[in-house]
Amino acid sequence: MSFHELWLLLPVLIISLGIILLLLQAAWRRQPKLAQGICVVTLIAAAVALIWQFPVGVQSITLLFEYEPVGGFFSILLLFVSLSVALLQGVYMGSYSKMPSTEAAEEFYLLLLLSCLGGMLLTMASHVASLLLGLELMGLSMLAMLAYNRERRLALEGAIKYLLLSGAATSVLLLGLAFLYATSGSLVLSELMQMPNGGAMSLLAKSGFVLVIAGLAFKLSLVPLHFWTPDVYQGAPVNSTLFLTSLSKTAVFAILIKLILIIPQDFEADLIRMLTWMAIASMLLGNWLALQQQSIKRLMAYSAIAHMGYILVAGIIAIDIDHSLVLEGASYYLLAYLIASILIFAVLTLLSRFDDQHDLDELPQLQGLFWQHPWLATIMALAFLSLAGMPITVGFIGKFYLLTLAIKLSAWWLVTAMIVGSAVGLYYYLRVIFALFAPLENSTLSAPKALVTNIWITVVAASLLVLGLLPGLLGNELRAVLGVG
Amino acid sequence: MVALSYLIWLPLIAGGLAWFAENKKSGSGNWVSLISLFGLLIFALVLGVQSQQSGVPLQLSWSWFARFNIHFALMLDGLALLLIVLTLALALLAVAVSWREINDKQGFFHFNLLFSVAGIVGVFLAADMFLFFLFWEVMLLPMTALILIWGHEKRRYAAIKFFIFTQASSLLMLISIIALALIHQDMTGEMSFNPQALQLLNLPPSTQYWLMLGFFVAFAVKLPSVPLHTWLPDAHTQAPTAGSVLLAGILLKTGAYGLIRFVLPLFPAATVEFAPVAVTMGVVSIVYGAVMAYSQTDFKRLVAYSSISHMGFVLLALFSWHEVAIQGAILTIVAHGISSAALFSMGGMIQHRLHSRELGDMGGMWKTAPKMATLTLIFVMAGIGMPGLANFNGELLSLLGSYQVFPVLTIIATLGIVLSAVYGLHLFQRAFQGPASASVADLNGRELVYTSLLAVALIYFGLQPHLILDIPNDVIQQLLAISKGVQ
Repeated sequence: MSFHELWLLLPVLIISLGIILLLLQAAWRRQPKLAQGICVVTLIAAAVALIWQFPVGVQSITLLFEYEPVGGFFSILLLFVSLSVALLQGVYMGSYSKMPSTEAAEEFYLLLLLSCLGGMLLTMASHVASLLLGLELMGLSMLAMLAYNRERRLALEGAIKYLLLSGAATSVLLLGLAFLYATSGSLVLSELMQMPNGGAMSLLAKSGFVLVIAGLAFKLSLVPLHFWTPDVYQGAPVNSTLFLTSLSKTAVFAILIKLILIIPQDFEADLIRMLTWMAIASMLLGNWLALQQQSIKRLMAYSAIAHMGYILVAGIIAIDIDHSLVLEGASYYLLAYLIASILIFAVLTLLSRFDDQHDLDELPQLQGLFWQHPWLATIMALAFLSLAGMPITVGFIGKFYLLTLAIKLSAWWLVTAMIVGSAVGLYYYLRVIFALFAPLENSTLSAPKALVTNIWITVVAASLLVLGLLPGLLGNELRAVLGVG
Repeated sequence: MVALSYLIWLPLIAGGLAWFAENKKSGSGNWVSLISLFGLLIFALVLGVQSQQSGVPLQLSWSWFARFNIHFALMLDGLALLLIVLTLALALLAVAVSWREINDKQGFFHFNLLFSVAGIVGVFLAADMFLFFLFWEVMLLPMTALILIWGHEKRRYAAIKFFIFTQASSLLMLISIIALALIHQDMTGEMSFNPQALQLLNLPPSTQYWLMLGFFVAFAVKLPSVPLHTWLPDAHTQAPTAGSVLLAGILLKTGAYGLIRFVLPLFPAATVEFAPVAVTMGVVSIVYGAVMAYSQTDFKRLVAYSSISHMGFVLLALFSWHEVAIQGAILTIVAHGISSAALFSMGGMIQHRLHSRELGDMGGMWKTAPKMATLTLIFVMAGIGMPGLANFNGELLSLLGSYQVFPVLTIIATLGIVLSAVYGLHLFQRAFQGPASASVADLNGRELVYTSLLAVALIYFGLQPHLILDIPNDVIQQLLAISKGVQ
């Protein structure tokens, strides 16, 4: 490994350094605010380093990793998400109030950085070993975050479910990779699907790839591998739910699209058919099941299923053509989804307390929020409008990208499912927004005063509007940033 | 011409100001809205005079989303000018009717009212399909809020239905817009959302037909045309008076505007092919709306169904592609905008006094409220299409023009005029005549001023219809030139 390669790993190294610092700090003196500070500074430093030396072309770092623009962009998204979660956690655990949580707070930041590290490694992976390393590092730390409040029965139940099912999914993934290795004889991702003497893919290799897709689809909670999602989302502490819905999905999607782009031509037709049905089923079922939910977390779980279905549309089209618009569309949509998720969960986090048995989660509890906390309610309403794909929000631009892609390819089944899904989706998003504006009935909700966190949320909310109103700001640059076309 | 964009920003700023002012001093929001809307109206007229004198429409175009060649492009031609003036005038009416009606969260109410004005003005000004779609959707948000927060008993249901109907149908339009831009890319190498550029595309007939349907559904929901009308009676009935005024007066007209602006010029051949279906839908709307109106017992619901009937004339006339008919359609748009807004504000005043919209609770109100009765009679007569009032010219021209193209259907449509007399007189008779069972306070000075102004407008445009027809003449002539190319 040369010095240059180490230099390219700078963002990852910064995070590793932060992890060591946090470990030392927890051993030396427990102080939640300091731990949060270290975590936030580390994430910002990593983001600055990443942006400063943003990759222009593909450069490999040893056999295991590669440094390339698409992975770089997704890594920025991961840091953005982690930063939001880190900033919210302090308020959630009451670190700034007179009655901080009795639970140890420092380890959460440690797990957060570990998980973020795993996600970043995953987006950079170019080898089966680094793929598994990243995936497991991310998944296991996340598991601990899901069960972070040991007093909550539902959290423990959700975490156990996640552990068992996620373990099974990883074994399926491993099996698939083993099949691929058995036929191709290589563990490097780009050679994984090349048959020895340039022949067609054998059945073994094909089934291997399908198993890999299934393993990743589990993490993305695509139908029919979505069953774990609502329970885990509902059980976990709200801030960990945000982390689960944003970080793991972003990182796994990055690796999925990387794999999809390298499949050989003779397998394309079958794979397109399979993924098309998964996408259509996710869009329709996710939106359908969300209709009657009373719990916002469950609603967001089903909404995540549907939105992953939308993003998969971009993945499917990537198989068919190697067009720059695909990566741009997927990136923009994912960004829109992340911004909206962060804002919705941020409002819930601000109104909930870590030590309570339940988070503020039920729809009736939010009734009339607008007349009590106009800003919080406005932010939440904007975020839901963005998820629904309403113009002037970033969600609309994301949807516009995906629709353009699907129409360009004349994929009318996908277009129909997107339209039907969106129309159904409108209903449950509206239900939440209407509840926010309903007459005030129940007791007052209190939101803590945390200056930095509130500023950050306002910035994210502003970006939701700015990217929606001036889509050119990012949209015109995205092609250059992602290094395509 | 940067000034054009002020027509969109200023209402937004005024809305924010009204909200702020209302929070500082109760009651001041009304004045801020009133004065700013009045200022805007004058500003729009000044711009309009400029553009009419120069003979070319005022334009503005900024690059907005270069990746897809999307522009922030606005254009003020005769048709846009006419409808913007109507919008601002009716928005003034909406502020006036809600002067005392809204007792709760007034500041936010004014913000929503002016926000929706900004959206509607944007729809009329937009000269880029993407931008048009954006405004088309955005104007829904404040309107839904108006229904949801200040509406009547079943407001939540009405608001959700209104939003989902219009949103879902406009998604189809979005697909058509994107498909058009992509076809432009295939043919010329560059995407385009500019209607004038898209008009030059030579589309194959079947493609044209499907794309046209996407637009048509979105506009037919807004218009509304049977069978896509079911959101309208609920939304109109449950909305606060100001909301009903804006909905009936302008929002429905955006559907007709879309047909004139996009469907006819972009897809002339497909339109001709589809005309029998659309015209039949129009005629069914006319008769169905009228019959349903007669069977209503709710004042506002009756007027709502009558709107469906009147908008059927617009659909009939537009798809006949005949000069006289198109002129009739535009006259009907304006005249119905004024007369239905007037009837809804009357309904609002009655409800404010009686706390009921049921015709059964009214009756004999002429005795206690003669001024109100007289003015309502004028508005009802306008709705019936009495000669001398503005609606008559519109419906007569629509029928005259359509008769040349679709004689049988037009004869059936004429039934609508007869039926409108039935439900109109039924409404008036049940509410104001007969034994005095309800006593209400008569119109006060403020109410008298704006209702009389409406009556004067109806009479004036009834006698001088050419004043309305001269303004959008450029658009009508362009349409006819396109239609000559097809036939």
